[in-house]
Amino acid sequence: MRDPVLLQAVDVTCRYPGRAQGRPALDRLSLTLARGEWVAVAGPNGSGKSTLARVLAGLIPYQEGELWLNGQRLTPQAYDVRTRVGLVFQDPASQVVGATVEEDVAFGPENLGLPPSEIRRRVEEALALVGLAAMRHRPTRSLSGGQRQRLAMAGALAMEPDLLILDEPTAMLDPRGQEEVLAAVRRLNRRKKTAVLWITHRLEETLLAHRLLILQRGQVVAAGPPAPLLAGRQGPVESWGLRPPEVIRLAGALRRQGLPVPEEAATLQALTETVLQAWRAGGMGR
Amino acid sequence: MIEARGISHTFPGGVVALRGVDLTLRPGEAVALMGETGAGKSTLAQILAGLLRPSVGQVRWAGRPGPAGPWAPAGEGLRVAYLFQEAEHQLFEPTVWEDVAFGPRQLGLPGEVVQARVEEALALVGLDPEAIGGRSPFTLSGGEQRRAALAGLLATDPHVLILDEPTTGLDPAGVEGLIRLLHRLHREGMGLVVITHSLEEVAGWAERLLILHQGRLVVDEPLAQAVQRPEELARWGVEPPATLRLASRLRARGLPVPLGVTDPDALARAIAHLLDRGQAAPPGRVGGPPGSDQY
Ligand SMILES: Nc1ncnc2c1ncn2[C@@H]1O[C@H](COP(=O)(O)OP(=O)(O)OP(=O)(O)O)[C@@H](O)[C@H]1O
Ligand SMILES: Nc1ncnc2c1ncn2[C@@H]1O[C@H](COP(=O)(O)OP(=O)(O)OP(=O)(O)O)[C@@H](O)[C@H]1O
Ligand SMILES: [Mg+2]
Ligand SMILES: [Mg+2]
Repeated sequence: MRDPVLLQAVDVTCRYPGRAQGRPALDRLSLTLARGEWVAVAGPNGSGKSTLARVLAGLIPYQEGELWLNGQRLTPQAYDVRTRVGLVFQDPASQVVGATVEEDVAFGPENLGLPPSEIRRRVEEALALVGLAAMRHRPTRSLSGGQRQRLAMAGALAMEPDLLILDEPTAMLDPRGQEEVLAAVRRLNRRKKTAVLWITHRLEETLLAHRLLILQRGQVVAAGPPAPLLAGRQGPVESWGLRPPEVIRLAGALRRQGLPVPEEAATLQALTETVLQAWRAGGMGR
Repeated sequence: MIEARGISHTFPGGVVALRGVDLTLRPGEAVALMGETGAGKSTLAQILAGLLRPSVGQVRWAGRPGPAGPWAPAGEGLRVAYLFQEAEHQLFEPTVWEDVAFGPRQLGLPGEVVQARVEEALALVGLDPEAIGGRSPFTLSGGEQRRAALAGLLATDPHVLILDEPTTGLDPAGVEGLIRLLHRLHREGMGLVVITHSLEEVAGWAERLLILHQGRLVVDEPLAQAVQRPEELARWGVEPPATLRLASRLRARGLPVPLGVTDPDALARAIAHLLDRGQAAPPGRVGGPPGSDQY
């Protein structure tokens, strides 16, 4: 059975003030997100990803179309969805409000008026999830770029929203940090059925999503399961200003050399096994 | 040439960010600087750029006690430009055009040259001067802002360009364009220090790989040599590109593919060649259990 719809955008158009001319930042964009669904969003610079995030989080108004959250119509003017939609900004520095790591994470839950014990529980859990527990008393301005990005993530996790919107949340993380943050969000997604909108330029990350949306010029130009989409099923990925992730390119390169690599193969493990099988079969498996 | 001797840095509050780093950057050298979150990369980069004075140790820029800064006139020393990790905070003028023109103007260049430099720099980073030049930098998207900040540095034509995670926030075409640009700047003789978490981004042009781990320089050698030891790189929090990892997994299972190949097509050809030549698979199960070669 399909999960109930959590969020629906119908023909939403958004223009920034002072930019009445030209193409709007979101141009009649539609999307549906089910409860517990994980949707990745990719697209070139300036295609409208952050604008979409801001509109869905109620930070900026939209001009046309309709937005529904939990069956409730959201008015085009700013609306308060903080308790239900959490957003991690693309620029994590602009999101820091507390003087210390711990205070910063507690800020959101405190504003929700939660009891102190619940605030403590959430802060503990969020700090542990992003691996910042040992730095809890550090002044926020003393963090490295990657540490600051983890902090922004912890702040959003502590809100325990129904929908978590992450705007390039791993852009400044090292491979281990990227892995850990993906794992933390996956756990939340599975356990609490938190819906996730994961915006990224690192296309290998989108392979973990249920669906991938490609944005171009404020519109969704392609959507579907990530691996076939990135393998070029709906048209050359380059035509959307993107580039398939390295595993997908590697899969393509092996296929061109005659190895029987299945279309959905999107992990190194799968590629390794394909090559070894061909080898055991005594040749190219052709 | 930048020479750093015995560099250690402790921040107020007691965090030790660098421990005894010795480093000489030769003129025109292309260097990648890597290492895990909090390893000390930005701290070292800012010291090399002359923006931060180390608590211990000495740095010399072309033999002088300080760099000339990106806007110093010619002949006044080594001009070093630095792109901040959060480059969007580096923009300050009311329009993108003014922002990029700021450096060349400081250099005292005549108006037509400033104009030419701004146009060239914007084109190099893939921003249309017509469409974006007149806009406030604060209304740009994240990736557009980083491109604008980089253009501002390029327009000053420095001797050494230090870029702190410059591909963050760039779309794939932007990343590719930047890599091509770095290639070209290197050929033209500019010194480059580029911080990144992606070996793939630097494998094609960087000559030398530096890795910091908890403030210590643990790797400093030709990049082509370092990538032949993917397991060691992984230990320092540097993930080898998928192509290197596939090669390493296949070798662990007994297929003698070449080491150090970073291009997917080249590796695929090498694999096909081995298989076509009928490279014999050992009897029974190939290699160890699946996953035993993961890192
Ligand atoms: N505050 C603003 N005022 C005016 N125009 C804006 C503003 N913010 C963004 N824009 C413009 O709206 C369009 C969409 O921007 P948006 O930030 O949503 O892109 P994005 O897909 O997030 O890009 P990136 O990958 O660079 O982060 C771009 O053309 C951008 O220049
Ligand atoms: N202003 C500061 N005050 C105190 N500690 C700091 C300050 N800036 C950085 N640090 C600490 O110094 C260490 C090195 O930081 P640095 O910013 O150099 O790391 P980095 O390698 O650039 O990491 P990242 O990949 O996250 O950007 C980190 O532990 C960081 O928290
Ligand atoms: Mg954005
Ligand atoms: Mg840094």
